[in-house]
Amino acid sequence: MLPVLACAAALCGLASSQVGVLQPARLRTLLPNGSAVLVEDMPQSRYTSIQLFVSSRLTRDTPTTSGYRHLLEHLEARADGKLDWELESKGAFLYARTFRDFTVFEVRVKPTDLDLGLRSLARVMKMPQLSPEIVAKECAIIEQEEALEDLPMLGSKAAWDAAYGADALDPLGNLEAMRSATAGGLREIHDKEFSGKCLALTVVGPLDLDDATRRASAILEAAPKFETPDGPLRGPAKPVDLPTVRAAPVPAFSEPLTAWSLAAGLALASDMEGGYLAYTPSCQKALMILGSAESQESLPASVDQADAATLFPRGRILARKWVSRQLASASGDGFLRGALLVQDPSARPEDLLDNLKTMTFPQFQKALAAFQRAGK
Amino acid sequence: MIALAVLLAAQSVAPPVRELPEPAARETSIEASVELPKLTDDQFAALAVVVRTIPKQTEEYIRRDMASITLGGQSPRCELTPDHIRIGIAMPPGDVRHGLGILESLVRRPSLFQDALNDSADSLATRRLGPWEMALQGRVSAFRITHDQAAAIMRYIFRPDRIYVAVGGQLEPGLAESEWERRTAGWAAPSRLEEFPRLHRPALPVQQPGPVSTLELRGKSFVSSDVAMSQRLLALMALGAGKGSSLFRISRETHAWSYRQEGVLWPVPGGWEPRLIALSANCPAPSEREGALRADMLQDVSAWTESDRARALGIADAVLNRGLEFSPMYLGQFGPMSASLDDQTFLSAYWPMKTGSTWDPERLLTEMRLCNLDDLKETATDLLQTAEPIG
Repeated sequence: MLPVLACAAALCGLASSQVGVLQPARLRTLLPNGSAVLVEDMPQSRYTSIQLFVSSRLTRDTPTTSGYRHLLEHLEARADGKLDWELESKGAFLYARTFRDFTVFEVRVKPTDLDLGLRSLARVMKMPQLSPEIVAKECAIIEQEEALEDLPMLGSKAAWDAAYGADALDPLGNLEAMRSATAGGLREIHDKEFSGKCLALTVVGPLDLDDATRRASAILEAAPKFETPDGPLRGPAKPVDLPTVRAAPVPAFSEPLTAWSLAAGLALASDMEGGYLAYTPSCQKALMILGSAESQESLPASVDQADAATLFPRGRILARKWVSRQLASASGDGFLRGALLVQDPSARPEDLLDNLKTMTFPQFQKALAAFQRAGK
Repeated sequence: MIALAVLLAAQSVAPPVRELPEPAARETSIEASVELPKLTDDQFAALAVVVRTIPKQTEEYIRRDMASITLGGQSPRCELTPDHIRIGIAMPPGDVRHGLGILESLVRRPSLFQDALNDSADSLATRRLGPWEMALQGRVSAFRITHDQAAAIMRYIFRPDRIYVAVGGQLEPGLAESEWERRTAGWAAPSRLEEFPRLHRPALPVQQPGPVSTLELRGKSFVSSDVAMSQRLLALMALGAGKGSSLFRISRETHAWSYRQEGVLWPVPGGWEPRLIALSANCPAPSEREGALRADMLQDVSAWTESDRARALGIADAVLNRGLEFSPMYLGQFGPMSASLDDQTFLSAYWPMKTGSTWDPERLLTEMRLCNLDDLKETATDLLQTAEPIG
């Protein structure tokens, strides 16, 4: 049986006040300090995914701090140096990734090990130990990481650079800036990152909603409350047309054009050898990037000559499938919901599904044109 | 007597279809694993062209037809690895018949038009693999082949007795078996072995290695029926899976030589090769680092305690029971098996092909738990001491 897609929101309250006889599948709770917790019962999952999202709203990368968040992600994930060993010995694992708009730490544990996962993320939230030697060594590892960039990563970097330049720097960061990072500079970023409104926690797996919400909330409720400016972080961009990638500017995740662009981009990618569409869910203006993961040649003529009528039904199905695939696993579901929650608590994956449902052919054509040379 | 012989020839020689029922699944997954014989590098390169061309069109289906039937309009997945070809089709829930129809058409009647074959060869030659994919695959040549050669390769490789099929998701029990039997009835394995066609064409220029070096210690291969399989896999996990592994701690944490490093159980015809791989940029002398890596890892293994064994068992539990991505079991083209329905369905087809027994992760895990610390250290030490440096 499919889980019931119900969502209960509680303003300024903990889950202990929300006991009901019939539980919905999902419970979202906003804490007094502005942080958010979303818990979802996924009875069929073989593990529980606990994901801590840290918004970059207060810590945007600048040329002088480019990569600080990435460097901190590496150092925070180490916690006290024993965390990974402890987790792996219990069949659990910690993942960490840095994106433009947020950083995410995920712990996957056995369904019976919820507390282990939550305690682990509480350790990740602490300011890591710092010294010039530690920073230098981590930078050497990040240098190795940057050398592994594949075609989609390089294409994405080039497209963002062309669209936004210094307004949306590559989240991997600049090694020179990272090497010159001081303990004080990193601490300042860390403190802002782990403040109330910049945090969201998702817990998805076989669990009791109220109990899991209470435990998860305890992790975040002590975070300090910082004033967080609202408003857009990025301005509008023009379509990007580079030899190996095209990028369509899209508005926030919940806007209709984003759903249409996802459908159009996925349909185009499905006609290309090794085609991909890169998009990180964002509640800001962002890019959807189309390219080939296998070829550095110019994009095939099929992109510009695509028959919209043929691609329309396929694009809708592919976009729906993209969302449903994400939501089918505890990890994918926690990631998509958390990525939106930490940026805009009202945004939901279902917004995109709704927009796909009502998408018309002309709307699809409009989105398709943004990827095509003739459409500019 | 003659009548009986005719009857036997008409019966399917295909291995039984495995079923993996998941009533709550939102799709039906149809997976086939085609067993490969040992091939030369050139034969493998020619087969790669065929495999890339197969899903483009068959006698019954053009790509668009397939897209209109499959779930999400996806083309069938067709991947070549050193010991098998994987063909995967995602269908709407319960639609087993159409899915098996596409599969049967793909393995028996792909069109393999010359233009499509040339496109495949050219795209294989010009494709740019990432450093990890390059490290796994090594340098592979690319050929243009003729339609006749491709057809002969099909006859050589795709025989009913070599095709192992599994179906997962929403299923009607027994339907897949009877449907596949019906579709393959009369398709007999050839009485004499076809020959792989001769290849005359010059190789196309292919991607040169990039600035990232591969540090690799490649262990001796072992047969797929090896009685110590579970122990070898556990040793590989202790050496190379997870952030507590010896390889991670030494290559990345101690030396900062790499960001990505993993132990990989690499499939080869008839068995597996354990590989310890680290990618290292700005590496002036890979062979020196490989030597140091081996020495450091041997020293590390000698100091392993029950804690290392417990960590390896924890990783094994996460990999086999919960689909942790850091699995050394690289049975896909460039990545390990996951907990997804299609990967688990594929394993149900692949494992009997490879080992003659049913895929049973719990049994594998139970056997691993019987491996004591001394045996684990001995197996890991032997792997390291006999491994060849590749970089």
